[in-house]
Amino acid sequence: MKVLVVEDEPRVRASLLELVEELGYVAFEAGSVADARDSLSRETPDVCITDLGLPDGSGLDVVRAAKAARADCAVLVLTGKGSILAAVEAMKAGAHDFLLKPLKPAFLASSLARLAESWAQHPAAHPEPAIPGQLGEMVGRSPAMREVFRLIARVAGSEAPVMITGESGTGKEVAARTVHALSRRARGPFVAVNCGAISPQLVESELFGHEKGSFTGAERRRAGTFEMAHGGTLFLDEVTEMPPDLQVKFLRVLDTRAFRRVGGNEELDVDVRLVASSNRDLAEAVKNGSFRSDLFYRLNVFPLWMPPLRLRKDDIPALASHFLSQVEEKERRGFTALEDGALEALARYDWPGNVRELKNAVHRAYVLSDPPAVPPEVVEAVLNVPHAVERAPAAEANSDAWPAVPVRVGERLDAVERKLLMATLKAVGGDRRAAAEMLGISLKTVYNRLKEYGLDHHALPGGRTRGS
Amino acid sequence: MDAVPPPDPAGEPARLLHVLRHALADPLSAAALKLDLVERRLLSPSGADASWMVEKARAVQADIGATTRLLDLLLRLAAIAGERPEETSLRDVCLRAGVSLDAAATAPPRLPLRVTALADAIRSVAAFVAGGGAAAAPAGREGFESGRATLILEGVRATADGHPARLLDLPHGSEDAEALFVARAAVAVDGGRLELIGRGGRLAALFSWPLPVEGGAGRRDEA
Repeated sequence: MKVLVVEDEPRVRASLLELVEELGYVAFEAGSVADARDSLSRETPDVCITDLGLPDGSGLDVVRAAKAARADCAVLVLTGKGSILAAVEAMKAGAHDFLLKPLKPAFLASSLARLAESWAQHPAAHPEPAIPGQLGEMVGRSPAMREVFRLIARVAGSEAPVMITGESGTGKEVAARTVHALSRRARGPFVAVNCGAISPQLVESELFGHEKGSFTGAERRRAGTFEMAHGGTLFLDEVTEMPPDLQVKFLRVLDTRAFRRVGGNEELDVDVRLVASSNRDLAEAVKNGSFRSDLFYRLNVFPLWMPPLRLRKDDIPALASHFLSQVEEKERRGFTALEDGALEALARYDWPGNVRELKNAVHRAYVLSDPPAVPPEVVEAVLNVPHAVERAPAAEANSDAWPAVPVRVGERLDAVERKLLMATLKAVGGDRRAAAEMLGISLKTVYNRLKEYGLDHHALPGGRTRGS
Repeated sequence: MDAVPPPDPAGEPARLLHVLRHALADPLSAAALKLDLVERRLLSPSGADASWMVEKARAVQADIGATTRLLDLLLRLAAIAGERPEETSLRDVCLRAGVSLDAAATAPPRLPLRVTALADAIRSVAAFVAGGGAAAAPAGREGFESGRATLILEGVRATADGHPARLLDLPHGSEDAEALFVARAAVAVDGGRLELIGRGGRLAALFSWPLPVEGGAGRRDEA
């Protein structure tokens, strides 16, 4: 692997060059943007390590020149702790990753080792989906999904943080998993954290882990989310629900790439690729102060929008068949298809719950049908189509289709709230996210209320919140 | 060096610390890389050559020396911050610095300044723009307009490149520019600004401070 080192400080440049060679790579050097351009015109490196501040220009110019010389050249940017925004700009310009100064040689060595190991089998070098209309677990042939596939294939090979937005149920976690599966970190862990669902009391321990005896009940050392995701991808689901004090702590770890376990003295380095998601308007969340702008910029390097299902109805037949096959694979009842009329009924519906709602509807229709095919009348019954077409998510709670909750005059509001929440959860099969949407409250509020009621997730039908 | 400053609500003093921290990152990085290299060689089956080890140890000492010198700048910043500002005129400070003024204002406004630190700053900037050596210190020119007091020192030193402002950011290989960094801090601490500009291929220094608002205290929120 050939590595170009671009650094104007002679001592740092010489040391970098020597270490890169010691690690077994071929190294060559440049001390300025002009030198780097000159080197790139003669030799095309596999990796370029560049400082951001150079005497005759910016390291961004080197990033662009290296990518122009060779599109898949991986550029590592050297930057100071106070220049995270500049590093973000560099990653937007195509940099692969950044390394903080003062440099930690072990970090540099592991970055180079990972690049060298995966160079030959770089999946992003094959951006066309192996199966037409499918990328990982994602299915779709609509123009909107083709664009999503193209962007995922493009970003997967870099280390750039990805911010996935879109309505609930559009497949944000599936997209995150696909980014991970196509990345150089595919063999590493994929760890998902629901930022709105972390108990405030356990936040630090959840994220950073704890040492034995660090607090009452800490009977042994436990790894936190960051540690578990080391070498892989950390997915921050519903990132805008992250409590403000946690945002500060999170930002510190992202900036320093190091943390301490609760009750621990040792600073641990962490190497994770970040993918975040939200179904909220991020700009609005930043504007109203509920989400820190510095964290937003840090995470929103590569935005990816997941289109709602109503805007990609062409994909409904393929998606429905895909979900039917998945259920059939498990239950083996002899189903082969959905009848044409059933597909037409699916297409008439507006899908406020998006792909997740379609998946559940197909499953219910499967259960209610007899093999070999799902008929239209079952789909219509499942969807309650005459009502469903006009139904908006916010109006769902008032729909006659849902059971009523009896309330007495003078009944305590907290008791009414509890009754309504429990009845809604029951009606949606324990899906907390769906219940939160119907009731117009945040997912975090649902979790907080259940905690107040002393109900753990096993006590509810459905058990867990399904992925986005 | 990473010269890209972050958005910085705290102003010039925070920018100065940012510059210093980045300058420190380079020798610290160089030392860490060399020590890692030494460790790898020592752990390798062939071991490390003694003369190579000596060379590396001396190079690390040089890196640490550079770090210490930069940390000395931090002590100088602390000393500047510790001086009390007093009402004075630019003319008096220049006199103390040994820099004469071309034309004198009849009733120059008085500014709250840290006199000792600023006199040192003017002296070292004057010597720098004069090109050092035997060249005489340039005469200064003061001005009071647009709500600012200014002092310009035009020297004979040639601008090395098209970016003289970089001399204020502790550039690599310019140890004499460290005095400019300290001067920048001495001006900034009283809400002023020091800029280096090229004029006809020659280096000029522009000091400026906000003029005190009539009937009120001098503005200190500039930096």
